[in-house]
Amino acid sequence: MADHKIVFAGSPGAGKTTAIGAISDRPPIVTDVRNSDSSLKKDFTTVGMDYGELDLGDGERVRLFGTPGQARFDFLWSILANNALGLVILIDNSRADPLRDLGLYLDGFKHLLPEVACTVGVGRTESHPSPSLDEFGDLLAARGLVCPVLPVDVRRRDDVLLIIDTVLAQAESRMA
Amino acid sequence: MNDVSLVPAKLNVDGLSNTDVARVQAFLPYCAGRTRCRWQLAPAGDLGHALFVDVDEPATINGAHRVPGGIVRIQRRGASRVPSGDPMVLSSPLQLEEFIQMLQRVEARMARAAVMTPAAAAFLPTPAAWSRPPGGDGAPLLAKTTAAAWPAHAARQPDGEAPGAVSLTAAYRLKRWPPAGILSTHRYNARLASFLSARHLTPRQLSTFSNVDSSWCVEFLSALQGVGLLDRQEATAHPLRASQSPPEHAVAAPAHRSANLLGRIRRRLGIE
Repeated sequence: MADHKIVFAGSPGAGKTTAIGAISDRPPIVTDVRNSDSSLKKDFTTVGMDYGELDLGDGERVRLFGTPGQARFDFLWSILANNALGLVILIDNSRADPLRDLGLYLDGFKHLLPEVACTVGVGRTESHPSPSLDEFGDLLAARGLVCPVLPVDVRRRDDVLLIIDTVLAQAESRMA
Repeated sequence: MNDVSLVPAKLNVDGLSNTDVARVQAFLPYCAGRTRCRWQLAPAGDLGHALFVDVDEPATINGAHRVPGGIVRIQRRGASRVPSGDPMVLSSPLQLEEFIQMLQRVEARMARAAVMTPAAAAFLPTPAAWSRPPGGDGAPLLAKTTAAAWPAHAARQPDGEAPGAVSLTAAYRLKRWPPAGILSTHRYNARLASFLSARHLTPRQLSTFSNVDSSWCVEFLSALQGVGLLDRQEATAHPLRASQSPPEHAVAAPAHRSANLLGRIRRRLGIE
């Protein structure tokens, strides 16, 4: 069986688990525990990883991994994303410093970004329009990166599909 | 400033009370000379270039996050539903000076959103035109309304070529991710930009990879070229030599298996 993987990373509460659930063939396997971090506005948070699958038939499948968002688990990020078909970084724009959040993940995946197709999805932009998408683009440009930056509501499957579409487009362009 | 002030821009006030709408209408004539754009109210159904909403009457407005000038929230003077220090918040009843200063901030956002002057940003196609099919008679002429209208801001071109002109034999790659103001003009733009983010592609290759009509690909490339976002390589130095015939199916051949995998994922997910 040939396996491929797409990794979802990003800030806690950004919706990695929901995004995986939006496209996975089966309900995602989650490793959530009751949240002990008072800065996070949710009852449960992922401490291990989330897992979903996309069965392509003929023995091929795409594994969908969600990394734990908190920085103390950063040692897991690169391990999970190694040899990935693509990487999705989800940012919650309602957090205190979303640009810093993105910087954290760009640092965490620094060695993989030149090789792996990566798209940044920014959530809650309608209620929290600042920083703008273009400011995220500025941050990427300052690091010499050209990655798609798109608004996303992970509850909408179409939004998640657009993110995946841009990841696949980069991957296809790189592979040609 | 005089020529710039002639640039039209539209303000959507559908979410405001009648009192505030009346004040906006009264203020607009006094903005001339103070704002870079000539502001007017957006017609019904047109999101316009900036959106004014009342925090006490929240409404869901589809596509609001794509308005290039942003969303201005209006709250009663003295209320604290949203922080008064927020630069995109105005107090009601509206005051002329605060209103003009807000339009100036909106114009600055439009400029940042489009990496061009506020005047050029105001020429972005209106949201009403965003749903037009690519390549059709009604396709928004994005490139013409940016680079052609404002040649001083166009990217440097090889001798003899008009700013924003796209060569069918050259390959292009993004220098940075485009502003949301450009991407939001059509749903295919994010896909096209994604292909261009990873490698140099000719217009024909871009169309082949993306399965997007070639006329729209050229239009999009021209818009990006017009604001200096593309790196250009002559096709002779390009390994795929896609400008030479027959390129349409040949470009995918070296990576047939990979392309097949990605195609299967797309089909599995129902991505067109």
